[in-house]
Amino acid sequence: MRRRRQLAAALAAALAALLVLASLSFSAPVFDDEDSPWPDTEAVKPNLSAVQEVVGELEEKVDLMELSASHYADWEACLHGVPISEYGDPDGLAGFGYDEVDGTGFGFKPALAIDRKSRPRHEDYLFLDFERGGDCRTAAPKPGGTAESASVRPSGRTGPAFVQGRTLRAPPGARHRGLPGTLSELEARVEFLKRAANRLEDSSERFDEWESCVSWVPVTEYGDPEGKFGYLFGAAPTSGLEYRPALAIDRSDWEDPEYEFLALVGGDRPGRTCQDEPGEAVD
Amino acid sequence: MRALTLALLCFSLLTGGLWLAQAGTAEDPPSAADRVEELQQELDSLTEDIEDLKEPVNEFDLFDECMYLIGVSELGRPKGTGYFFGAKRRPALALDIRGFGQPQFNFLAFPGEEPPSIECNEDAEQEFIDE
Repeated sequence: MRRRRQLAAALAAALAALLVLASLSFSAPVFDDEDSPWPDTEAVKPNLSAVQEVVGELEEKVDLMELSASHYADWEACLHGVPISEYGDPDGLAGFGYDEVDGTGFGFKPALAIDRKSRPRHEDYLFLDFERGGDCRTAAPKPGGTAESASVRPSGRTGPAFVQGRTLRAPPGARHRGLPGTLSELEARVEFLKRAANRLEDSSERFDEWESCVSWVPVTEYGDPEGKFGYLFGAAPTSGLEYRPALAIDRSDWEDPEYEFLALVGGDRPGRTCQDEPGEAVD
Repeated sequence: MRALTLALLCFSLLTGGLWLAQAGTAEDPPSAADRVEELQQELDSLTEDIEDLKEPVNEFDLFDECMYLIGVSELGRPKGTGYFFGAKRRPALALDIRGFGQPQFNFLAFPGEEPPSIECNEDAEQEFIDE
């Protein structure tokens, strides 16, 4: 009899404990995401502090992203296309006169030149030239150097994601206005963040559209810059003959090209038609 | 009399209905707690959106880091001095990176050895690992 009572008491206690545990798990707020920045309370003050912190963090991230987007917009505005075509036969049957001066004799080789005759979008390639002047600038190439990186004056303008005279930060005067003021300020900052995110998205879509239309064109300079061999250059075949280097499409199977020039190929234009796959090389 | 009673009844029903409808649609201004909660929801969604933007925006930087400008100029003229092209002279393009003058063009290019994104990424990663 006594054992039965003890057993019943133990069962009752276990049931009670189970009920307490179950009620606790239902009443406690459930956070699916352990990384949730929001505090485990409904009190306004700690939640407001967390909101302020998250807004500040997002503003920092968006600030950096806007800087990148604005830089891209700056240099994109400095680009213009130059129509280039390849003249001469890649098989060496006709074209520019070329001599390696290695005993193999005189032959023909194609080379790249500005295409002044083809109608727009009928040139072989539209090379992308970084224009100098205005806010666009490039340093003069250094002797012996290979290339310069593009730069633009920090103009504080342009950029699809950049709005002149505005900043993601709230003005200092807007702070310390009490709870309603703080809430209004945070709402405005979140609204501005949303607009900035939309602008960044537009900007990245535009870049993606541009990049997916651009092709890499393998180019190598053939001939000796010192003039010991290369393309025949001069006023007449019999007088003042020199050897000069020139650029040509690199079709070599066994060596890498010197450069991959960026170009819109065969009339491709971002936003209109893009025949090639994104970033496809042209051989 | 019956008609008047009926009219009064209809009037009271109508006005009562209107009042009830108005009372149903009118909203109290949201409390501070509600506004904070709404901000939190908006920030949750915004955090995701901004996280999704990281990769596409990184593409700007990658492109910017890997891109080169190659100085190129056109040498020769269609008539007179130029490259031999059959019986004619023709201008053609050559690198212009050795002199002190400004080249005619600064073409966008990438180094030729590897696909640019791989090359630039590899270099950046290597430097990071070495440190």
